[in-house]
Amino acid sequence: MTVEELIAGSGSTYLFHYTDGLRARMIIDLRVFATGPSAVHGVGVYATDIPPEDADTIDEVIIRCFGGDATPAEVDHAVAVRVSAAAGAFEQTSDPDEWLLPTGKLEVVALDGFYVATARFVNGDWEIIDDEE
Amino acid sequence: MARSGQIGTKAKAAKKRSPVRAPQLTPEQQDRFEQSKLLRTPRVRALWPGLTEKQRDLVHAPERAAGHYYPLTSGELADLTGLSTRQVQYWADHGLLPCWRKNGRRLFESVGLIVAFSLVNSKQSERQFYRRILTAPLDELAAQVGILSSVLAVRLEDATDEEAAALTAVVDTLPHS
Repeated sequence: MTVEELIAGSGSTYLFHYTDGLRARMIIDLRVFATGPSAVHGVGVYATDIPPEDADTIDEVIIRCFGGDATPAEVDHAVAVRVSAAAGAFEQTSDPDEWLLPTGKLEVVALDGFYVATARFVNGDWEIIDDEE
Repeated sequence: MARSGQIGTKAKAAKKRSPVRAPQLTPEQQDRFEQSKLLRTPRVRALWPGLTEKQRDLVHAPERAAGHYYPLTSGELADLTGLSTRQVQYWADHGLLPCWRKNGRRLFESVGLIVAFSLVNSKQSERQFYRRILTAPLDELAAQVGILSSVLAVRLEDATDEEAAALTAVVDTLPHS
């Protein structure tokens, strides 16, 4: 898997869950996602179709997905997931950049079948640090 | 940037089922997860703009100096920031530097590095002020907080709504019953 392949499939095949390194490595190691107590469009795993393309991606994600309310340290990892898998499918919310895999609140959710790869922002660019193979 | 305006249809048509629930996190994973939560608090977010470009790069990639990714030991955090190991341990033991422990060792995630860099960037007089706050009797502290609140109230009179919101957001993160 390459970053270019992820970019090419963004939205149609792949979505991206931007998070910090600690949570990203939890997903890499355990293939799980811990959901929060609540969110604007419902509880679950949030993702976007904004791909990890270049150095501007972080600013774009912070502004368009978090309304400016995040720091780069919180979104310097992009976990690529499939739009749909056997266990369910991400749904586009009323926000044009936002997708949601609905779950219960405060759950540890298995991402088997969804997980594709994880890219990390380092040295001014994105590089794959893990993939499903 | 690659986009697709028609992708929602396919996803909405897919059968809606909840993903399989995974086992609960181990205590160590929960400890580390708490560090990730701290990273998202207003008081830590407020520190990011004060970091230099080099410091921000090290937060993203600590292995460039430490040789590996997080977590960092007290010694490694000291080497990265220029604080002494004793300073790191002091601030950590007093709760100012977020850390978690494994077999008695203090371990630091990105939130700890951000706070440590902020301490490095602060003036010595400011660090002495923080140290006094950490060790002063609570009744003395109440008086100092009272004065500080009065001063901040004066400053808020001239602040924009955005500036006031940023300042009060940090204050609002203080735990209280």
